[in-house]
Amino acid sequence: MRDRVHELTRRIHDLPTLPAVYQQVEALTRDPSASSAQLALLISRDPVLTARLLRVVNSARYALTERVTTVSRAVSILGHHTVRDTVLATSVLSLLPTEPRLQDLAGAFWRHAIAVGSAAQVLGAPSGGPAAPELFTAGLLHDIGKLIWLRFFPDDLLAIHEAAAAADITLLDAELAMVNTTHVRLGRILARRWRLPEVYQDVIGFHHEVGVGTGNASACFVVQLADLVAHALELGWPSPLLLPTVQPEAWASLRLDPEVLPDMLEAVQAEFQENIELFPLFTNDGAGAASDGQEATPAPALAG
Amino acid sequence: MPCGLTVARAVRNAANTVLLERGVVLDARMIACLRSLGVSHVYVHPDRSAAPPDALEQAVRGEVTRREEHRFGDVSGDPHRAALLAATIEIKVGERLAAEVFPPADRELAAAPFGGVNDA
Repeated sequence: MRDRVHELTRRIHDLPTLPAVYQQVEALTRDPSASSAQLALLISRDPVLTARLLRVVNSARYALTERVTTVSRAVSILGHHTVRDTVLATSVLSLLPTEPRLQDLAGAFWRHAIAVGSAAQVLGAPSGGPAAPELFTAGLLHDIGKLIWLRFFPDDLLAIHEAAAAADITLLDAELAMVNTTHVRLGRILARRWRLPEVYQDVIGFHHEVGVGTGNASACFVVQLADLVAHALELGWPSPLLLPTVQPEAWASLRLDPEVLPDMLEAVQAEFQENIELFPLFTNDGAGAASDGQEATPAPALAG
Repeated sequence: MPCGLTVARAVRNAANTVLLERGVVLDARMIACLRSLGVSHVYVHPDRSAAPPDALEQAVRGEVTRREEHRFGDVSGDPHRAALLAATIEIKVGERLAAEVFPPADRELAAAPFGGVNDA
């Protein structure tokens, strides 16, 4: 399996690019002269994105007294960046494998992503740092490097989990030992290739180790802690694995009193339930993961 | 969102269910709050005296504590990690006890969707 490193890196280029609609939405959000009407028109051409956006704006989070039924109204309420991130999350979701035998694995990956996004929202709220929607998306995308394994080498991903459990080491150490690379390195390449916003590139590439010169260090630390919380609560990957280590500076950056953590965990669970409803993996309306002619893969079993 | 936080304690044993004690009345605001958290079914506790026995709780707590202490590693000198460990243990003990005292099969029997809250 140690020969995988070159193959994994090569496979990054086999992953589909993000849909054109995301690229167009992203370009509009960077254009100061772009209007909400332009953005709404673009979204409304895509029924899946339209349904998702309306679901988000009508969710309890926005606590609106009247139901929003038009994309233009949704865009004006949510703002351009939240619209962009909703499109981004939907686009990533569409890249997850849909084969029935991979659903457990894809489901665990997606639930963990949603859990880290939810935890990042909650943990980051009191710090006055990055905005909650941005933290949610950062958390959602943090392990995007594992998408390469999930799509092309799902058995390797399972083998890494099993090896970590057997050797009583963290997942990150198991990746290094078995494949001589990590999802962080793969994610960094993928994020650059997808031209994701800089904050997401930084979080994907540095959420396990924030260096002195790391950009968006505040968001990276929040996601590092959110990853710890999601693993602790086993929202996603159910396993007895050792929890990831976190840097002492991470807690310090949030200035959180340890006494507030029990209430925060309750809030994380509530956020998780809400977000998993907004972004379910498989839906009947086509808004979840969608098949795109992906390669057949053997059937792995997710260890509980 | 105090309402949401309170409910979260009740819902955490399942993705879309909440367990109520007999006699609890849900008002419209509470139902809206539950729905916003993804709750679609409620279950009424059939017997309020069915609190988990001390021996069971001790056994569960011991098992959960051993498992989580191992997963968290050394928390000495790290008050945040220690607090996270303690909170995680409490949540998981609660989940395990709920599963022990109210097995899924019994909960299914007592299930009722919104609009038809049962009073088993």
